[in-house]
Amino acid sequence: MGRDSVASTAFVELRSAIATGRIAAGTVLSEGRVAAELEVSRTPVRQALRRLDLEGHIERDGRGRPIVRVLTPDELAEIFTVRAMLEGFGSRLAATRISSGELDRLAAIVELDWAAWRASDVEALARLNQQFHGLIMEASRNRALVEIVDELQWRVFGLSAFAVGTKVDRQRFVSEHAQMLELLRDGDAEGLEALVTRHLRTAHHVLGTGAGRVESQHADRSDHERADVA
Amino acid sequence: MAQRAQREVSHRPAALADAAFETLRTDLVAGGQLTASRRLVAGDLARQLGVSRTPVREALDRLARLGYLTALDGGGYERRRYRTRDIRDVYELRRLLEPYAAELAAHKAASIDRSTADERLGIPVSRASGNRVLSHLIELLAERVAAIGVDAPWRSREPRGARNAPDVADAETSRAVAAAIERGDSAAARAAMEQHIAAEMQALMARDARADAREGGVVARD
Repeated sequence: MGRDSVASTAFVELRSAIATGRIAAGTVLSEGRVAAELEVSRTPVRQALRRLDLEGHIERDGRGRPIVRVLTPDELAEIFTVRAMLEGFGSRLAATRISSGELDRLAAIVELDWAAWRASDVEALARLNQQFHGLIMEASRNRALVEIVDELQWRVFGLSAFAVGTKVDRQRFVSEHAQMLELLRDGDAEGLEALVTRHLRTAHHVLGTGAGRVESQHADRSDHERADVA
Repeated sequence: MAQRAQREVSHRPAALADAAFETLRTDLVAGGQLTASRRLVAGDLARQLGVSRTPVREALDRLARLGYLTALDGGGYERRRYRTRDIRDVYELRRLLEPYAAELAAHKAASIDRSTADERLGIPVSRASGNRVLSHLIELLAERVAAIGVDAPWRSREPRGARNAPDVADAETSRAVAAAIERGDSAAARAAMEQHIAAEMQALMARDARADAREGGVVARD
């Protein structure tokens, strides 16, 4: 079973690196480079890459090399439309079902958010963002919703609004997280649903306008075969 | 799914995983012998299927993500158990997403392929919506409904082979959905889909309650 766990660890690490923008969309995923960065042999890396491929996160560049798939503006719009529906609905449920323990955990995330914002640590912000939104979905007490939103999260692969946006954008996202926490404390279901929907619309807008920048960046990255996983 | 199937034809390991996935899924839905064990382990299944462990592992992982299996502590999987609450959770989401998909499909006055079973009407409708992400999630929910059907307590006294996805969908509401979409009436399509899903959920809940009363609320299997 040791081999299996190395492979799943490689998969989880690689997926997380892509999801938080550490490995950008369009980056060439060279087996050797990824293996060296994760300090494992090539076999688990090959398996991890296969799994990412199976989940639709990998495409080939002009030279047939595997790269992190780049989302088209249409796909991005589709994702955010559905995300707004699901998360809007989930947050409405969460407003009346959340526990005090969960409120404390969200408050802790908001604190870390501000610290990461001050340090301009976009990777930490992206990771905290996933935790924050995921925790609210858990508080909805709808297990199917948690799983479906999780599935959706991984589709925004390599595109973190925190990584793409400016420091001012990031400030806005974090203060909206703080406002969400307040609305959850007040049990204001409607106010929260409206804010979450607006929050996601902004994130979509930031990603949409920033996407051009990411694309021009990844052209350079591909040339250098940059897979900075560490 | 269709997209995934297409991309897998190109390379062999993926095709093997896909075949293992289909075999195991079919067996789970039919309550077959292959997946009858309390602890499903990649090695055992690989031997029975005559393939290596890697594709089986991938298939098991996918089945877990689709809601058929639960990972066990210490390795391996078991069939996932469902409670009444899970039925409600899934239908809450279907009620959120599928009427919207029907509305989008009606905007395009798409023609709906009704060759699928009525309880799977959501799939052709979601494909016709033009939103691929929406469609993907609705397919995941349809899988979940099938998985619930497999585990459903009301099935537990029936012969294993008789277990199947719940045949509770109403043909009449299903026709109404397709008709409204085809004539491009978004409001009617949305309303008909809401009705279709509500009727299905009611039928499912009623059976669940009957089975609960019969079995003293214990979700019994085998």
